[in-house]
Amino acid sequence: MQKEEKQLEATVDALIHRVQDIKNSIASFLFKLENEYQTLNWPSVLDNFALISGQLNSLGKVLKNDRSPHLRNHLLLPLALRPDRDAELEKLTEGRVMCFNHEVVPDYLRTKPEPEVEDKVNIVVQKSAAMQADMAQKQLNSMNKITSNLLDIINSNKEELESEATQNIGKAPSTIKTNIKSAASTHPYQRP
Amino acid sequence: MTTPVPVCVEAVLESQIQEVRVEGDGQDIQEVYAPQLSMSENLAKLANKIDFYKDECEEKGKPTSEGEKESEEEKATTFQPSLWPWDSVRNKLKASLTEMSVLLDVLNIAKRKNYMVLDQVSQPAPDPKTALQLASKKQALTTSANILMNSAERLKKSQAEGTSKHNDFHIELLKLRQNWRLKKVGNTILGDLSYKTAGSRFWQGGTFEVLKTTTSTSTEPEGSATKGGLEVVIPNDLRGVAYIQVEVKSVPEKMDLTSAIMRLPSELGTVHTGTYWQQKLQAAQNVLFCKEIFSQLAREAVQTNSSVPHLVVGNQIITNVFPGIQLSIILCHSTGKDKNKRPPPAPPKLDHNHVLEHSLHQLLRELHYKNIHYPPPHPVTAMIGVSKKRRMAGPLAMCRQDLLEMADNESLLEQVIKQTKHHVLRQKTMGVLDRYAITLSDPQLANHWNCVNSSLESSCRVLITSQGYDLRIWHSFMVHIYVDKIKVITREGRVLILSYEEKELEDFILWQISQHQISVSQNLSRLMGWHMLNTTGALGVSDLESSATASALVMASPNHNKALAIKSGPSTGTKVFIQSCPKENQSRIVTKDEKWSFVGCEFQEVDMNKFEGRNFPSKLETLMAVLTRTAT
Repeated sequence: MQKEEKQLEATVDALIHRVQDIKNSIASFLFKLENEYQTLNWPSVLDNFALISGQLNSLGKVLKNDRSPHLRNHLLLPLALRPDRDAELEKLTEGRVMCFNHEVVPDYLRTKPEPEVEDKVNIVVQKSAAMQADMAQKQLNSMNKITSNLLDIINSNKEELESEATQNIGKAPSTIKTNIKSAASTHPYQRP
Repeated sequence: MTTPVPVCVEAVLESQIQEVRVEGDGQDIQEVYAPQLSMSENLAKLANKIDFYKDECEEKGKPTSEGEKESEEEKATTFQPSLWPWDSVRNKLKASLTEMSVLLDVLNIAKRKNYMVLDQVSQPAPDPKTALQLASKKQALTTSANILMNSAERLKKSQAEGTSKHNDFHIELLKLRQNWRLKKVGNTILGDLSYKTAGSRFWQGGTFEVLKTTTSTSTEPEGSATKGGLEVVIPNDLRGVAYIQVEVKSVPEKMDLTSAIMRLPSELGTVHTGTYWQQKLQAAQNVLFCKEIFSQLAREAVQTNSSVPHLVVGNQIITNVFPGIQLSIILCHSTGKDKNKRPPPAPPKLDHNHVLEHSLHQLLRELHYKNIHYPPPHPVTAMIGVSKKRRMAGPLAMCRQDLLEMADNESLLEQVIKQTKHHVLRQKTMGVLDRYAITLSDPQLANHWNCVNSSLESSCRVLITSQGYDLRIWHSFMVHIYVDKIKVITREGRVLILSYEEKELEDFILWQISQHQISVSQNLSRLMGWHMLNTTGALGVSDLESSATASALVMASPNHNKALAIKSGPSTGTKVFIQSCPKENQSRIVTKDEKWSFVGCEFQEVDMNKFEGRNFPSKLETLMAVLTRTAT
């Protein structure tokens, strides 16, 4: 029991850390958009997006980690509501939550997704419902195959490119050397 | 039942029921009211209802759909979507930031275990939703694949364009460089369309940016043939079409201020986005040039202190050239954007003066030229831009007066006003001369304008002839038109200076005509052998003329038995008198000789209208011929 609790704590800590990262990078990106939009160019925007997406990935990894307990089996259980201001709470949430009262909690513990997101999910759910189980399995297998193939191709291409680049770097001085050698061999006063 | 029940007379809801007591066997029900709130208590209660916290955390605590909508509307008002290209990205990011903050807060609070804890429950493992996963992954893959395919398509297209010579960006850039100044700053290519290299000192720069078009031109139905792979981006204030409109209007009495309204003719053409860069740049350059002219003129109009103040109202400069005649210079600039907004009003009749507009352009170009072309020689030791005369000012010990004169140069506005004055004066003179040439038939006027003239000086020779007698007998005078005066030189070499008033010239012409009639008569008398007894250019007797003086001629027939008197005045016209011989004169004793018989005889007017003939000289000739014959 002790071990599990420790694990849970560690996981929560890790989660907090990741989420904090994501939040910070989103905030900084927003700041850039609002204040430096005149000098902002497309590559730097893409860089920012890449950063956020990478952080999301690492968050996913934390969630999927084997060592972390099944968060699915944990509930968020509100213990107490207090209408007074709590300075410590305020500090913890960077001033977003002043007090843990009946107004804040329902909003914070909302489980229904936003309408936009819900619509998107609904579409996917409908699609999946329309599919038959064996067909889905078939498609799943074929997709797995295709994606792994694609991944192989991409990886090999990437390796090729990288090796070419390194070869080129290594090649350039070597050609000069051979030239010097050949030049030396054709020199009239060469040593025998 | 009969026990008195206190009845509250206060308005309902004003004091709330705190408690309802049921006493005894349930028959007696008593309501206990809460005490009335005092003013300060009421205020405190209302203040409690206000959620101060709501504003402070900027909707972050309420990520409900309503809150989202509100914040979106707020953003829409603060940021113009067209001005700000990142609007949609920003909105999405805001929403995700909200969600992330909530997640973080919840985790933090749960970790603290004060208010919330993570409570373990046992739950059956969910059945794997492979179909759902499959569907979502498929969708995600398709969207990303689409993006990749699109970009690949674009790359392909640009590759294809690069191979075909027609749309090559670099060839277009080469052509552009041959005509325009370009420079590379960082990753962008900037060009300059201002007149700075030609000597302009206008503050506004004309920087444009050269871009490579990446959008496929083949999608456009027309104009793709002329459009290369090059696009120029012109600053907003130089877009559209502009021109300087010069109007010379005659206004009654005072300067007409009501006409000083901003007028932008709506029929101005707009530059389409699809036009070739050369046309675009030329239009922008023209806009810049017009702006420079106008700002120069406006500055001068404010600075110079003339007797009649120049008015600068909006995009209009108004000044009086002559009393009742007003010159207005208007800068018309249409960006072509607001055209869709308002329906074009009926275009007012504009009497645009193309000549003056052209000369304005010319004057500014001259100014530019002077700014960078200094007259030689340029000694190495001397300052650049100082004329020879100025350099010599020291050694020659010039006085302040001379130096001031040297520094005095005419402003653009003054020159334009001068030209306008001359223009107006020439038009007026032309009008007067033409009117007389059309209406007069006896004698006739012929105007010969000199083809060599300048913008401030022109001249004209006016011939007065009588039909049938024009080979030998003609009268002429020269008209020189200057900036605000007219100089006329008569045949005898007399020089008269006339002002801009039309009346003066009219009077002069009439006087010249009357003179012409007398000189025709003189010539006729010489030809037919009559004797001129007396001529006078300024007749002192008879009716007063409205202007100038009448002239007269008295002549006698070859055998001295008849005499004619001709009087010609500018306003009274030509009159001929004959000396008739009364019968009682025959009985005179003292002077028997016939030649004295006319002495003292009365002159009687001849009605020249009764004579046949096209004009006065032919009638007079007939009369003289008749008199000569009857006398012999």
